[in-house]
Amino acid sequence: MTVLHIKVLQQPNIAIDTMLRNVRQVYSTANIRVAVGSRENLAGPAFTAILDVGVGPCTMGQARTTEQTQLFGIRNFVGANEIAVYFVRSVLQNNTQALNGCASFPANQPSCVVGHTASGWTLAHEVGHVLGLAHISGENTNCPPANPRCCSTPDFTRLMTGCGTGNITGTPTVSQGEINTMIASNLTIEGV
Amino acid sequence: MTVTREQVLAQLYPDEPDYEGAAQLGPEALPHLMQLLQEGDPDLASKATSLASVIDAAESIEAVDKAARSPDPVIRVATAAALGNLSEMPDPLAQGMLNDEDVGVRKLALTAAPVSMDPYVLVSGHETVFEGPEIEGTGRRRCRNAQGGGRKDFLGVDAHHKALAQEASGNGGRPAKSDPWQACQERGDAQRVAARAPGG
Repeated sequence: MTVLHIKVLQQPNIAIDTMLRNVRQVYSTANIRVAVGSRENLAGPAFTAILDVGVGPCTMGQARTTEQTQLFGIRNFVGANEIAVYFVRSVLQNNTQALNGCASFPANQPSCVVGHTASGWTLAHEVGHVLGLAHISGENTNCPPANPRCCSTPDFTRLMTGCGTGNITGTPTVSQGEINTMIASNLTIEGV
Repeated sequence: MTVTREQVLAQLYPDEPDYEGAAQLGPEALPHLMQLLQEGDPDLASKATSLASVIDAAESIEAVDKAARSPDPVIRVATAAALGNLSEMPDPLAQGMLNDEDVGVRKLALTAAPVSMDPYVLVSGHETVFEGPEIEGTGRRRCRNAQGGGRKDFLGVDAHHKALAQEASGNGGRPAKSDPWQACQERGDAQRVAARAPGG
């Protein structure tokens, strides 16, 4: 089982319940139950400064940004080995470029950030990253060296496509290897 | 190289686009990015303004400027952030973002505005830019950086002379109210007073 704690600074375009339904749908194919541990509304002036979140380069092990430090410090109700999901307005790579979400988090604060314009599958995708999944291979065939992620051969049947979860139709799949990785994560508690 | 709309979209669809790689499409991508801005889908338009700024061609400014006029604050936030990628930032564009009604847009525009930028660009929006607890941290950093030297260091020689001229022309010898360096000093003084106040 994986436990998510939903913290909402801004409602996304796609309803959170729809995203959660999608998470459960795809994770059930891996025999992983997804529970919502809590929901917290963080809207209001006190949270305006972290409504638009700079996530630095959005890589694991990076130094935390000011906004990440502040945001990830809000962990009411979040137990050890549980994941906090922050719904914000904007997710900004290096404070300059728009992302739909980011799963970069500091040790002992497993978290992901999902922006207002996220797709219905972004939450499931970012939680996949938190559980240790990378983007699938094989989507960037014959890309030029200067643009190694050109998405020339995308696979929108897979949850961990690096070419846009917004193009997924139907329920995306996770491979057995990905399932093994997720189950091995310390954030998947009680095994399956 | 001819760039198709499909090629551009392929770079913008990812949840976490590789903007540096996508920028290899070059300026020929810009008409498609302009079209996406025109269409106004918040996801693609936000990413379009990001990519236009990373391409950083002369025509990129037109795209960013168009995005800056979007009624959608999500797109304007992406635009204010994108200012930081532009090697040249026209003053009216920066000023517009610094005066935006949305504090998140103002904060990012302030962060993106280079220290070397003519501080008088900040003047008209100065009071709103620095207003509110959400943005004080960013404002304080700029002030702190500025307070190491005098106004001449902060404003630069030309702007320093401009400020002196303003003072001489009807401010009773006082610094212009909108002088950002002066505002930084006053803010610093106010903070020191508050820190000394009993129970403060």
